[in-house]
Order: sequence, then structure tokens, then C-alpha cells
Amino acid sequence: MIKILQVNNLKKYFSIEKIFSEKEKIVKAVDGVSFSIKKGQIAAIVGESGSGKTTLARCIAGIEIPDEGEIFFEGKLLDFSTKEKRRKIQYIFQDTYGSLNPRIKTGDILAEPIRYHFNLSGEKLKEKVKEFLKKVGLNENFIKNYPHELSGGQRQRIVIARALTMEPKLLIADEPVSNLDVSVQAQILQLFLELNLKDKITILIITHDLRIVYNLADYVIVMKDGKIIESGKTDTIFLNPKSDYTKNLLCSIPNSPYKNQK
Amino acid sequence: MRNIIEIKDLCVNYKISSNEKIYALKNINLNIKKGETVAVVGESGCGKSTLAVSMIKLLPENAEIFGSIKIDNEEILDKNNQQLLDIRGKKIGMIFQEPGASLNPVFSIKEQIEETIKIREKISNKDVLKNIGLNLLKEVGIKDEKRVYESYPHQLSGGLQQRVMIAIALSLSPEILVADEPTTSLDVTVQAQIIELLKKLKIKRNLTTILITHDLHLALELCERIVVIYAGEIVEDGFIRSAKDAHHPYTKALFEIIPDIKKKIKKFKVIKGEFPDMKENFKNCSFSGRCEFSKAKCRRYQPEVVRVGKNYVKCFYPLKG
Repeated sequence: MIKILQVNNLKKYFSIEKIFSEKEKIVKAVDGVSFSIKKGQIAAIVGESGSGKTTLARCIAGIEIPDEGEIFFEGKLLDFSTKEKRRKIQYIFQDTYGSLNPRIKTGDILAEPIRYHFNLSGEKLKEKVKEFLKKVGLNENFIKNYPHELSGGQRQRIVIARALTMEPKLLIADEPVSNLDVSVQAQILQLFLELNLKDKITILIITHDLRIVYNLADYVIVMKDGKIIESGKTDTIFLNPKSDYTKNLLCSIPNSPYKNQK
Repeated sequence: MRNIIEIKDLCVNYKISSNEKIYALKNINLNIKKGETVAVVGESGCGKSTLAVSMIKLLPENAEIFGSIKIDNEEILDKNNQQLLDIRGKKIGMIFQEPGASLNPVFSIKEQIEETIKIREKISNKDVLKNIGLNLLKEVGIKDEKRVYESYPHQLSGGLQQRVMIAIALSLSPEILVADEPTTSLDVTVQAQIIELLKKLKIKRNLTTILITHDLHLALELCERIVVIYAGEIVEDGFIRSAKDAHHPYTKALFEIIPDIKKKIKKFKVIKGEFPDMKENFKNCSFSGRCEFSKAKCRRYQPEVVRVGKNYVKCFYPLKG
């Protein structure tokens, strides 16, 4: 299979300026990370908070500019100079409420990017908006709602629909279900699976919930302190974890079957 | 064993406007024995946190509360705030979801732990207070207790903050510990540590522990007895270890929507439909609209609680398991 994304030796450091101390503290959020994702895969980045998974994803999406290293997307070195390139990688944030403008109706939230990227207007635009709503399992009446009138799960669907309007090749989802109820989580995750299956979108999901990873992802990247500890096919990582860190993560799953094996 | 908590026909409504009410809890009957570990499981908005705060009568002003809650045979609902002080903290210790929000950012941990003991136990000797405080921190598994004792909340990680909250909850030696989503904002590994700590404390102090959570697997990790709440009603109460022990369709569905880690299926099962509107008082089974086994009777009448095996189930057609 073709690699859709290749990351080589990526580094992103943040310096924390202390006004009254001489020394500058540097946080190595991403510290020399290399991996690749194949086209059509669902990959997952797991790790404790502070392990650099979000920073890594933000670098790939072009929200952060890496200090060192290269990112190849569809075989070409990534730069975000044109809107065409930007379009193909979309990002879904954890906080659905913060991702949507509270003063704009959901229909307009979806219409804006479509108008901008596809030069559609009038009836055609409306049709397109409804098409995307349908794709994420919402009916067309939702175009008249404001974000606060929707439930968390519905808002996350709108956020996903907005990302899909760009017809992305790679969808990055940063903890997309951690704010949602268990029953709603399953619905959103099923939607991700369907998007991957039907629309052949490659998905990179960041999560700390290993139960989700096991059932969703084909490929797993385990991160700690900005470095990749282990990566491989989901089954390999779960059945035969090499590092103690991964084993510890697996044992930490509530009601984990791994605990007895320790 | 005697019952330490006896809840009978408890109803809690929240008034939201002159003619609208949210029926948060409906006819809750729950007895908990001393030393038992019980998990209350349900989706958000099902009333599980309301149940937790009802036990110490810490409800907001717009709440109406009916029925009876007896702690050690004493009726809680008749007590005024002064009398409730004997219950709050001393009988029932409570841990809340967000440790960061529960601690006061401008006071050190030392001050926050000592304040409770100073006021409630009337101890004023500084050395004695410090000794009690440091021992509490040690008890909740904090290794460098001296540093933590002098720290401010923002200097501590989420896991440490939650341990401090547990220490404060234990400072008046309660018999019952109510933990309302104690690990939701924490990392998986830290979550495992906190649950391990709760297990240890339960044995060491012979605590009656009530865990409020939406995570069924977390509940199974700590508790034997599981109480499942749906739309303000207890739908199942009993000893549940897996989907096979579930007799109520909702409990079974809850098991199924959580991805399995033993068998990979690459599919996420969903419960169809939406959570019901809590502004209505149901005349039928509250789960009937989403239940895959529901029949005409379920949509028309309210089921009674029946005993199936070791469990109590509120369903016309309980599953055989």
C-alpha cells in the first residue's frame, strides 16, 4: 500500500520563559519522531497526557511549525502555502463547543467552507450542505440550529461534517470522543469506521482509551515524553507489547484482561 | 450485616421554571450494607450525581426532595444544616470529579487539610494538626508528603490533586466514601493508581464505598455490586460481572457499547435512539423507546421491580442471561 504520510525525525521544542529566572526551560514536546501511515489506514497515537501526541498531530496539520524534520504527504514534502494542500488534511478537536462559532447556525457553519473551496452558491450550495449532514447521520432540519441547541454528540457530528466538506484525504481527530457519553462515543466511532470504509479517508486518531484503539485502529503508535516508544500493527502491540511502558498502559485499562498476565 | 444506608422512595425534582420540572430521581429504593462497595452506573443526565449529593442533602435551592434517606437509622432529610454537619464529612466523605476545581487555588494543601480538622475536630495545636495532615497524605500514597503539604494546588499533577482530595475526604474518618467520577479527568495510568488506592483504603478503613461512574468497566474494577440508573430510575441492582449477568436490556446494552478488548470486531455497537426527556414523568418503561426487546406492554405501562437470580430488575421481560 502507498504511504500517505511519512514523518522523518520531527522535532518541536517549546521554551518556557521565566521572567525572574536566568535559565530558560525547554520542553521537548516532540523529540525526533519518525513514522509512516499507509493510505486507507486508521492509525492511533496513544500515550499519557504530556507525551506529545497532540503536538505531533498539530505539526502534521500545520497548526504548529516543527523545529526540525520533514513531513511528506502523498509523497511530497509538506508545506501549507496553498489552500489545495491545506484542504487535504483536516483536524477535529476535542472540545466541540469551542470548535463551533456560537453565533452561526450549523447550516452556515457548513456552507462557508464549501462556498470558499468549491465556488458553489444558491441552491447547489444548500444541496451540498444537506448532503454532508446526511453523511454524518444528521437530518437536514439541523441547518437551522445554533451549536448550543445541539447535544455533544450532534456537535461532534457537525464538526466532522465540516471537516468532510473539504474532502480530506487525512482526518486527524484529537480525543474526539473523550467528552462524550459512552453511548454517544460508540456512535461517533462507528461513524469514523464508516468514513474510513466508504470514503476511504485515512484517519489518525489521538486517544488515551485503549479499548477504542483496539477496535478502531489498524496501526498504533505509542508515545512517551515526545518519543515513539513502540509502533506497529494493532494486534502485534496488544498481543505482544515489547516495552514496559506499553504493558503498563495495557494494565491500566479498567477491568483489563492484561492485569492477570503481569 | 446491617444496612448503613437505607433509601426509600426517593424522588428529586429540579424546578427550572414555574411550570417545568426535571424529574432527576424517581422512586429510588436502595439499601447499602456496611462495608459494601457499590457502583452507581449510568449515562450523564441520568441522575447519578443527584443521588450522590442527596445522601448528604447538598442539593441546590431549586430542588424538591421527597422520600426518606436513612444513614445509620437516622433520617437525613429532616435535618437542618447544623445537624447535617454530623453527617457531612464525619459519616460520609465525598470526592468530586475535578480535583483542580475542588481545591482552593490560593491556599496551600497544608491549610486546606488542616482547616477541616481544625474546625470540625476542634484541634488547635499546630504540631498535632501537621502530624495528622502528613499522616493522611502518607495514607493516600503520596511519597514526598512534606513537599506536597507545603505546595499549592497548581503545583501538583491531577493525580496528586485527587489524592489530596481523598485525604481531605478521609480527614474526619467517615464510614462511607462517595466518589463521584473520581478519575474522569485523569490519565489511564493515573486512573488505575487511584482505583488501586480506593481498593486499599476500603480494606484498611473498612469503608463503605459508593463509586459514581459512567464507565462500567471502572465499576467492575472496584465494585461487586452494580446499580444501573437510567433516566432517574434504578433499572438493575445486583452482582454483575459481565454481559451474561445482565438481566435488564439496558445493562446488556451498556456492556455491548463499550469496545471489547478480548475480541476484535472492528465495529461499535450503538444504542439506538436518544436519551429521554427528563422533564416528563414516565407512565411507561423509560427505556422502551430504545430497547431492542420492547413490546407493546413496555410502551404502555410502568414495570415493577422483580427479582431475577441475585439481581433486582425493573423490566417486564428480564433477560435470562
